[in-house]
Amino acid sequence: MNFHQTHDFVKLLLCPFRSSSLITDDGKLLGSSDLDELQSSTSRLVVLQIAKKYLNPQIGDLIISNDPDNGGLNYQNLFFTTRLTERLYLVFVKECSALQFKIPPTPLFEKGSKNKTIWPFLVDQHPQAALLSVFFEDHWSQVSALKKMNVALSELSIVKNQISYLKVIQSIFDRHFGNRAIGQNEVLCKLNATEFVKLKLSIDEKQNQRSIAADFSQCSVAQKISAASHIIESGLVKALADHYDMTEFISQPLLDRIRLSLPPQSIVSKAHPLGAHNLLLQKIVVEQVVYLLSTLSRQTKTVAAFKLIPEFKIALKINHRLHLISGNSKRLQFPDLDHLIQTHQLMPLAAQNTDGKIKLKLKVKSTAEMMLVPQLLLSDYPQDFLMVSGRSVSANSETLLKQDDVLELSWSFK
Amino acid sequence: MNHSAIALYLGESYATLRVFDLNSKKNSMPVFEKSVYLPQTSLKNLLLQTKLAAADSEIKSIFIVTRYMDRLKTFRLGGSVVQVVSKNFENSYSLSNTQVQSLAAPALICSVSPETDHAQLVTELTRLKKINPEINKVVFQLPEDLFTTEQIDMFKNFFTQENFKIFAVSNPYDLEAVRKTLLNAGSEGTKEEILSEITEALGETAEVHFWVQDHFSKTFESLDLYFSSQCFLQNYLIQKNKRLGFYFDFENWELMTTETVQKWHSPWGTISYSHPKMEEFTMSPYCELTVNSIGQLIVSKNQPQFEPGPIVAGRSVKTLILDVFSDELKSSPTMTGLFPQVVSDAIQQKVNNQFQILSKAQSLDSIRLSREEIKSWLRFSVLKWIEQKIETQDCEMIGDFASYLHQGTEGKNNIPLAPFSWLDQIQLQAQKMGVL
Repeated sequence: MNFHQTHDFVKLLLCPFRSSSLITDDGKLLGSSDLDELQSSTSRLVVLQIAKKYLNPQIGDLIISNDPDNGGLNYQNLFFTTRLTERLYLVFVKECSALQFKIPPTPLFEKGSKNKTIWPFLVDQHPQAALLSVFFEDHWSQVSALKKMNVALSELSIVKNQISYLKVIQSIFDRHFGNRAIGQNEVLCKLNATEFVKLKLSIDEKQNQRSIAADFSQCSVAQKISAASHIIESGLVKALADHYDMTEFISQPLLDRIRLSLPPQSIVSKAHPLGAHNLLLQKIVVEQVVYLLSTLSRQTKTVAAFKLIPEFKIALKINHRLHLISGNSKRLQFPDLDHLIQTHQLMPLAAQNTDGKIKLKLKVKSTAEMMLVPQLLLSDYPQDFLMVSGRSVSANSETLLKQDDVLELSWSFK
Repeated sequence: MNHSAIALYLGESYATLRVFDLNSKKNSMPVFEKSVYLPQTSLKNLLLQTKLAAADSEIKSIFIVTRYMDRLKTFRLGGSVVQVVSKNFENSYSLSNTQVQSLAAPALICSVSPETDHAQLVTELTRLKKINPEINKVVFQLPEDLFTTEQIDMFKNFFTQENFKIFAVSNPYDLEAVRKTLLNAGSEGTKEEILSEITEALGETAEVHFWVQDHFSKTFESLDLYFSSQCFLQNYLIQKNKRLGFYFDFENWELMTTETVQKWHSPWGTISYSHPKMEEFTMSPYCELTVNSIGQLIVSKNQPQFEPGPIVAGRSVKTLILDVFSDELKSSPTMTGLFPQVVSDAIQQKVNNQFQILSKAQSLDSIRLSREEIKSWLRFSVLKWIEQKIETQDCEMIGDFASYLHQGTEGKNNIPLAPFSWLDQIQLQAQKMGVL
């Protein structure tokens, strides 16, 4: 079994899931897939440790959890933890908008069967029982399907193989790392008068050993806005992996090279009970890392001042289902727009994309309850970028839409 | 009575054809058979050679299965298409996702309102012709609640008189319908190009049948041609009572199923079009093998390199996956038809030299792969992918490349290898249909 084949096995086990990790019995990250917007590579490690501590997962178990205070992201993003073999665990994250409540680590399947104590309370009594049942059954099927990949599972469970695989990744990372600039710089991002994120990033070399230090010690204390440290670290790891061409190899050797200083009870270490600011703070940290790395590699000293890239994410909630609208400096996405027009829930009065400017004017035709839920508003944006029947929409609260209301969105790519 | 016909598989990079008697029920020797690599020999040239070789009999029909349109998937379309759009709906089709590939040139938008008159249209057309004098197609995106039938007719008549081909969106508020019409208009040029090459070579009287959905048809839209080969393969699987087919040929590797999906997530956005559920393997024979900045061998994520093609095509210095297997593939008649040089010692030496360079360039000793190791890794990857996808035993591996990938994996998988020839299958389906 050579490195390429081992890597194929890792990819095969991870590929059914957008956000997933393979973790060894001694807690080392063997491989990671990070395709969702909200990064969770470190969160998955935390979730596994909690599950191991309290529930000691066995082969055939499937443990679910979503508690933002204990490694989770928010209620909608559910973590699934399973023990694939004696020496290999899989943790993956899936979103379900029907989940509006906290789930502590819970064994939903035990020894290959539904947990008959938990299932009736969690699923059968839920107003959207059918949807939840399909959601859980589907993911159980996906986990079960991995069992047929017995060669991959047995090869990746051999400790010697795990060690040699991580050793090669270490050498790949060292090469990439050695080719890039070293140095240090810091950046401050103010969220308001009293809340800010300050990051000092140092890439150092001592005795031929390079390391990355991310120092958040000068951040503001947690007030209204805050996120857990694993949220910050997950974003940081992904940004660093992208920079060092290690996106495909996010694993223990990369984590081992990062030293983090996160003061307790700060904006970047205190979990919000609902995870309400996770996406915002993760995006800020990622942009800070990208900015700081770019300043290290610049030849000239004149570097543009740090400025957050404008970005928004809003959900249109119709009958408990979320339809996302998102935009940044390069794109606008409203994946369900076609469907909402085709099903006569929305009627376009204007739908224009010219010279980098978007103008979308939609009349509400549906009688169903419709709500605008802001999820992310990054950077300065014009107050009238989102209007309902001529009124500017508040960026921080939900807005009810009634039949015949007109929703207007104006956005520019810069 | 003889009815000479051509069975043609028109791939993205190669074409293979056969002249046969449509009325013959027995497996007689084909009159003529040939395969060409399209970047080196055009379809028209192939058809002219065919006509010369079959000079004794007039070609009355041609039956085509194609995936030629796939080459458009990396392009922005609509360079010769004018869009007559109601004001405030310019480029509306892109609003579900502004990052998909463009289906229409923004400069060729003609925004109109109910007040727009003939004189304004003349001015607009003059402006548009200055941008592109070749414009010859027009898409109308005019909602009937904003424009009267008379107004829409006035616009249509104007462009008809100017010799434009008209494409009208059935429901201009439906963004999928807009995309579908724009794609049909934007792909029309390629469809016309294929048809004109056929007509120029075989004459006006030859009937042209493309495989559309589950049959050969003389009437089709450009959009139908995007799924011609997939639909044909799906039909083949259904007839063989198989649920899955792992298709490996000289240009693409994919998993074909008998399931159908209604929405096509195209490179230009979602379009409502019923088509087979399929999945492409992460690599294809035209993917480049290269070494990255730290000396690690990688399969490039760039588009397949059809031009100049593999080293065995004679001109390339880039190593493609196809080249890895070229020493084995030289026993394939299709391969030697496409790349006659593959059998020459000189070209095999060139391939070997290239792999030696590639081996030296891999500076990380622990992951250096020789040509043979690359070959076995590729086989391994394919095998593991297949293992992951197999749910039941009613599946098979098909295609010209399948037997070469299957080698060395015997005993490690139970998937049967089935003989599959595009020309045999096209001829079979054409003869089933008979002379109409």
